[in-house]
Amino acid sequence: MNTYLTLLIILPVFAAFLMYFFRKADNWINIAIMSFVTLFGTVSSLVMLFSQGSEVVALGGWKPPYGIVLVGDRLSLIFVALIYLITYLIAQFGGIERTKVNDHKSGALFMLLTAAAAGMILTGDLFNFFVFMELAAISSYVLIAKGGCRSSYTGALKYIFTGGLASMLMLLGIGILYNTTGTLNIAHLMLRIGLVGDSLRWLALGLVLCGILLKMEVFPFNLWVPESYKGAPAGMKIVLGSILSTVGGYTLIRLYPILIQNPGLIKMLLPLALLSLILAELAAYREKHINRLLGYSSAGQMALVMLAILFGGRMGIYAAIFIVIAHALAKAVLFFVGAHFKKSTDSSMWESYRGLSKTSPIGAVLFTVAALSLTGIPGMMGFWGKLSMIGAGLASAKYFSIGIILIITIVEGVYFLRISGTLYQSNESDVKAKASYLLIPAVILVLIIVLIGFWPGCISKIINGGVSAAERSSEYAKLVLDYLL
Amino acid sequence: MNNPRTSRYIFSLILTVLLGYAVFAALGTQGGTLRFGPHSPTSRVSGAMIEKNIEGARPNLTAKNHTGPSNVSFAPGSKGLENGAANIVSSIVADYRSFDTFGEVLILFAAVTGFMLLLPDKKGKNKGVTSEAPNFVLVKAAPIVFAFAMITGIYISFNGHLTPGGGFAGGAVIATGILILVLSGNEFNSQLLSLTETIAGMLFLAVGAAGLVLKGNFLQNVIPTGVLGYIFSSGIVLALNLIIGLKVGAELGSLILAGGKKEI
Amino acid sequence: MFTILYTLSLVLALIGIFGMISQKNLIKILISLNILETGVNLFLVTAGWSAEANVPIITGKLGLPSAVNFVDPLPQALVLTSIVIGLGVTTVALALILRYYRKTGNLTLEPSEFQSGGER
Repeated sequence: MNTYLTLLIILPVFAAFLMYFFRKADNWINIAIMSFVTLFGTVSSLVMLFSQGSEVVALGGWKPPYGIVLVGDRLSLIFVALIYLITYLIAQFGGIERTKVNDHKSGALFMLLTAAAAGMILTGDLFNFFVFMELAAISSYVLIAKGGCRSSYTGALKYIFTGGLASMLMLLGIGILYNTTGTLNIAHLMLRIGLVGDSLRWLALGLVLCGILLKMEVFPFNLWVPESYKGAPAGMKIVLGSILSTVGGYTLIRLYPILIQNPGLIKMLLPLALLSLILAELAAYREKHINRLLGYSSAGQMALVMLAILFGGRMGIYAAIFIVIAHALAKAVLFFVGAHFKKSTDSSMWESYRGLSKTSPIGAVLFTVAALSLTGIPGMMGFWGKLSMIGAGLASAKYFSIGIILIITIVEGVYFLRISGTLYQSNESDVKAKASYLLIPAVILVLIIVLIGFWPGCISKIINGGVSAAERSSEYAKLVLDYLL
Repeated sequence: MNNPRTSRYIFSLILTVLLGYAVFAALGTQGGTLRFGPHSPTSRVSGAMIEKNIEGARPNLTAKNHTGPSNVSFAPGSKGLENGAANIVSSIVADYRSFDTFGEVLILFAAVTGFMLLLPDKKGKNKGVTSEAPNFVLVKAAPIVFAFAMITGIYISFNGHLTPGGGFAGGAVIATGILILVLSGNEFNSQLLSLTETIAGMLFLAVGAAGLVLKGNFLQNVIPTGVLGYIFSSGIVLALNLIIGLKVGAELGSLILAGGKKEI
Repeated sequence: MFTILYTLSLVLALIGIFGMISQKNLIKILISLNILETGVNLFLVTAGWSAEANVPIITGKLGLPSAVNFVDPLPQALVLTSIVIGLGVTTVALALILRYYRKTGNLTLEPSEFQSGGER
């Protein structure tokens, strides 16, 4: 088991190097390599998640807190399985690698991105997290720019500068934390954070959060969102929407025990999250371009996750995990179906999708189901997340925030239903459905969404395990530093 | 004031000053000076790395001072240490925190791959960077300087565990040699460079995998550490420094070649 | 001395941030980012520095080395990593700026790009 946890990171890296030798071969070899690696990751992380509890790997054999550790506990394994599932679907069913020439290079970057996402989730070291964050960032800058149109470059450049600023601020925060606590290990940091004076802790955590908020597309750091989502190639849109933001959400959940010790910081982040939610969803409401709309919607959902974490408590963490998973699955469906629509109609404006339900009935159904799940209609997966989120808000008596969340949910429902309504309007155009293979992964994901929606009990045990792992610092610290406690 | 440029400057200035005020105010509260942490490594995890006694150290979880017994004495000539590098920074970069370095190497790989992917691919002869033809002295001297740069780069990589230096510095020096070749309009095989890059990356993985197979953890030291201060003394540090030197040299070199060859 | 070093590194970082917010030229923004990086790296190195301590290399001159005698080596290792990361970001950013320039013919992100709607 020890080996498998390491392999989750180094196997994609090996694949990235291996692709160089197949640079003149047919494209299907690259696709086969990527599919094999990601399928292996999905299966092995699911097996680890279901079979046993937790695993800590001391890389290089240096025990924590001195060396770098990989922590596969009940929380991180959920997310690794999730991102590997989505990367598998991207690798297998089109996306990045089928669009342009120079395939082995973008395939290698995609594999590095996968490794970086897995590394960000599994690592138990703050600086190592920063390194993998930058690896993911650099790969995604290039892959966004591969879209080749003007907004790809604009989006990638905005992402580079916002990301560079945020990650440097994060590095400053890491420096302050190391300077005052003398450690970089997250579990050790959870125990020693109390040593730092109040104002300095506030500053250091605020700076560290900058990097995470960038990945979560929260307000001051989401200026890059619309252009990047618009210009990125189809597969990269899914990576942005359901992998990188998922990783950001996971990290915030992981840092919850540290955050909760700073009521002042939480008081400051709450209005930020609310502002981000309102701005993103209102921008999405006004948007005519489907991909920019979905990007804004991602930002809104991630603000929702942040709110759930700030509400706190078992219920809040449960809601956060549930919403992150529901969002990742639904957003992947929407982007797959969106790419299918784009190929069919050769347009990205949702108003031109009038009557598409005739040409692509399955696509229309999938889109509607995913949109409903994202909104939180009862019977869908997103509903249970929003329900427990409201429970968490009531428990912590944040009535104002709950009111705003409910209003914004209505806004969200309206703009998604507007698109679905457009799909089902009658229209006499004769559009041919193209690239229907993009619907296969969407069908798989929608089946998962519906299954969990009608029977949330099937994963609530796993998520509850994750909540226990995330909620208290003592659990995590006991796992990582077990020889000391 | 109506000038958008002026108002942008003023807005940025206000924002920066506010941020700076927040930072300095938070730092200043720690006992009146900006020196906020105890600076001695004894209170940090690096203390055990300096003493090369991670096996024996027991970190204190909540108190300020947390390293274990500091009774380990070692000097040049000690044998059988858990890590044999005399340069402690190298021992951290290539052994204690080698996974960071792994990520770092991948970042460079990703950056170079991305650079190649993004630059418009115009096949052409290497014309040098300037429009004028390189003069006779430069053309003739460049191969000699290149040879010296290669030797220096390899030396720096090889001695990274004893003196300041290491794989990244050595690789940068090797790439400088390639830069001189490009400036003088000489040819250099870019296929060879990208092959070296890939092979070096695989070697890095192989060293890590050897640790995984033989000792049970990725990147664990499998080579005996020897005597402190000798050239073959540091186990995995020397191997990784050499590999990183090759890889960084090849990567930066192919970056420079691409910049010289492809029309900008 | 510490106060001076910390202040200067932070001021350098703040200059970088100011440049990133106020400038419109892409190259200037990139240079500002590099200044910010330098400031943060200096800050990290300063975090491990100590006037009385030695270079973290074990030589014969020191008697019995212990942690007290040395400058903290860990931030130096972190800065080494961070410099290479900065190099990677700068490389990709330059290539992107080049592509952007060839596509659009200017070096600023125009305000019209911020507005919604689009050409596709």
